[in-house]
Amino acid sequence: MVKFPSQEWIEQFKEKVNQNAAYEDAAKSWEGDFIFLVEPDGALTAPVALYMDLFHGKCRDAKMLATPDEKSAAYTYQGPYSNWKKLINKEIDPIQGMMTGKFKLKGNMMKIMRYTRAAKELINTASTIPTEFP
Amino acid sequence: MWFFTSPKIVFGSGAVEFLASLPTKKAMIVCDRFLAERGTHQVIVEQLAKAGAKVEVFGQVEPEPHIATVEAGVKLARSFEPDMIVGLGGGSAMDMAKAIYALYERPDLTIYDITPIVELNLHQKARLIQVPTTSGTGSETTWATIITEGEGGRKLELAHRDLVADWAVLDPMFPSSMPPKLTADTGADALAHSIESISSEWANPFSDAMGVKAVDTIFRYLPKAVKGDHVPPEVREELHLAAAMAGLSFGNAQVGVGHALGHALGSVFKVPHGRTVGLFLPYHIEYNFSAAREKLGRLAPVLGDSTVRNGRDLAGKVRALWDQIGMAKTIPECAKITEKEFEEKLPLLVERADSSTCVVSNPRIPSSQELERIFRAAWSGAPIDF
Ligand SMILES: [Fe+2]
Repeated sequence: MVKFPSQEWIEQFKEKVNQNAAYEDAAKSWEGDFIFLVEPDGALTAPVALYMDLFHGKCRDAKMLATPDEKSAAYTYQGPYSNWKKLINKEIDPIQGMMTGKFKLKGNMMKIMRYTRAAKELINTASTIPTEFP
Repeated sequence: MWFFTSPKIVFGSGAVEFLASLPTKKAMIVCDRFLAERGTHQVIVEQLAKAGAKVEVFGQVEPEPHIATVEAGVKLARSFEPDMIVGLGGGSAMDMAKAIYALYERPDLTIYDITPIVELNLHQKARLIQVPTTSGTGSETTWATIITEGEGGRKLELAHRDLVADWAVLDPMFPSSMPPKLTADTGADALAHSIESISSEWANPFSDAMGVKAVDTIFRYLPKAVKGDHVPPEVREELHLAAAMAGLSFGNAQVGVGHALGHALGSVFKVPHGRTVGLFLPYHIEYNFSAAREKLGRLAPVLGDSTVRNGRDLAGKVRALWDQIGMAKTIPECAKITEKEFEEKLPLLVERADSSTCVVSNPRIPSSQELERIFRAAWSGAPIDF
């Protein structure tokens, strides 16, 4: 089991993304890095930012940032810790999550709306990590 | 957590007279070019005059409307400053009214900002009213608008909850003069909305109620509306309401891969929307049935247990309806193109279907290779067996 959010979790995520042919197909022309911002609630007392550089169907780099403003990225997908837990457990659909205000996305909307299939595949991948939520 | 979003609806014979009762100072009518030429909008103008409103008509909406037309409409709206915008026509005019409305209300935005995941906060300057003249698009009850980027360009699938009209006016006088081919195309679109949304991952009890009722009505009445020399008014009215219900169904649950494929084919080869999505509906069913068996099983009370037992039979039921009303079942019947043209454009077709937001809630997430296989099946008429 891997604790979420952590350096170990984002490394496993990178590994699994790079093994996922369906994600690679859906994101084959995607270029853009992400910050996944986990806002504190419940057991999480401070915000945690996970960084991922996604390029042409692969993840080139992934790490937990020391502070949320250590790095900026093309997109920030953010929501409270309890909603991240539901997302990874597939109790929240990533797109419906944004439409109901459970998550917020910052970045170029026009570009990302063409990659909704890649977004789904990304969450499907995250849900295959044996995750422990403190 | 999810929503069910609907406009207020006024329906039935005489519904258009309701417009006279809405306090309005300035109304802008957005309508199809041919409706403006035929003077159909005068019915609306008369009612608005009773309310004492000044009226401006933007009658330039082309089929599959472009961004340039949105810009022209927004320019007019900004100088006229209406407190009511009325979309009058088929899907193109109502979609155009939504896009103009959004950018009139929010001059700080571009068309690309109309996505469901941003705050728009519309309905500050004007009311949005939708008056459909065809029975199919469902745009009168949905939050979606399809605008084409330019000649042969991509179809932008824009959506926001704030784009739902304040009022949808469903008056059967408008669709009563639809010719048979248009009745068939638009009715097929409504059936595709219903069945695709029932099979959607986002389907919910409210959307299902609307979708199942719409499927029942369309199977019952669409052949009568297409074949008859004189179509009884109650048939027109039933189909007009069913199209709005199908809109409520997919507006709250999303369409699926059938529409993704239809938008791609329609944008590349310029085929009317209803014809393309009608063509792909049986393929949508066959491809998705294994993942949506339980959901599509909800159609058993209206189509019969045996019809919803497997994808082949349900798709066959739709194909039999298409035979009755003369809808295309393969790409060569639908678009007048050669096999060489099809093969040349296949990568573009796949790329456009692939980037469609319509696949987001589809029961199966199709790979690029699968999309190509469905296009090829729709070319030859082969069933989907993967
Ligand atoms: Fe449609």
